[in-house]
Amino acid sequence: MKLMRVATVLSGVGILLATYLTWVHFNSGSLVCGLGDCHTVQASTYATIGPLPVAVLGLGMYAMVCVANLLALTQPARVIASSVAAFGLLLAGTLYAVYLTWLEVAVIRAICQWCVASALLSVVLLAVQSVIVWEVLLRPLPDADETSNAPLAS
Amino acid sequence: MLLGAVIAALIVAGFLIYLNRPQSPGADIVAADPLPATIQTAGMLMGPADAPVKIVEWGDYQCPACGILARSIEPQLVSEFIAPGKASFEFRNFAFLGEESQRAAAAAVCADQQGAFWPIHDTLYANQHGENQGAFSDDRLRTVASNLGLDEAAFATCLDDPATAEAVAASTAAGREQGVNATPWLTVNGTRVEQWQDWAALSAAIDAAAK
Repeated sequence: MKLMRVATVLSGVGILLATYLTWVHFNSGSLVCGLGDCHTVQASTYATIGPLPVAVLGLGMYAMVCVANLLALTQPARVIASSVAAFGLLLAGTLYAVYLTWLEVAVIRAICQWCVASALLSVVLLAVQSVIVWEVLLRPLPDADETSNAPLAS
Repeated sequence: MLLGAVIAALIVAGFLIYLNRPQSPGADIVAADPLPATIQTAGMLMGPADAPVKIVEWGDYQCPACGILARSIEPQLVSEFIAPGKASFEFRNFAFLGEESQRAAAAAVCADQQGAFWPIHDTLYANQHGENQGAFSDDRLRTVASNLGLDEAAFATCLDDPATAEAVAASTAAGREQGVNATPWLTVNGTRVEQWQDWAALSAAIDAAAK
């Protein structure tokens, strides 16, 4: 439960980060290529998939992870499905974030510190969510049965 | 359930990476519309040198925003201010987005030596394709020069001349000394216009400078 709260808070931080990056993308000031800041990355061809800014994808991921963890916290019957769904979202998002960071370094040759911060956050969130999933699947939930220490699965 | 989530995540991540993969620039060089024949040019300057309003752009050939300026704003500048002799427009190299930025800027310097700066300037901006993915490889730059009818041997010699790279580096350094930290860095009689993409704001700035 404690880790789910941590994951919820971290995904809230992610929502703020992704919201800022989305704002930067749509703000008119993004129509410049800057020295070592987010502008070059945000103005690059990799900042969008079709008409959709990548930052919006990140915003959607963090929002869904936040909702999934809130569901897991408030609805014990859905704890496994919600936790696993959040894990899957974070795994996909983290792999993509690692790829995007590689693009910044190797292709765009510019580092957006907020994009890197988001990538690092997704890695930390994935680690936290992995522990949550491990506890949910392999350990009994204290709220569900505090007297039993038998694993639910092995 | 966990295995399914992992497989789904790998598929989604793989699909997103596929959609956002670096792509080759393709074989064809797109030709840019030539400047009207009535527009006088002198090196990297177009319009009358003694025009009352002097518009200067520090730009990088790989910068997408510079591409927007070249393709969308420059034609309006030409028709409304350069052609009537109200303003001049000068481009200065500020090559900071990697190797292909420097090579493209060098190509522009070499084309300038053959009196073809603006044709190559507009052609390069018509052929942007990501950053450092081969759009401005030496082979493609030589093809651009060939398409523009330049002396290919002289162009190739110039492109490989260390002095050309030094000229580009010097221009970029001069920009930094003047405070340039982003491109396009557009000034009207020395005053930066940040909202260059807003034609009403840019034209108002030019009109105000002309008074």
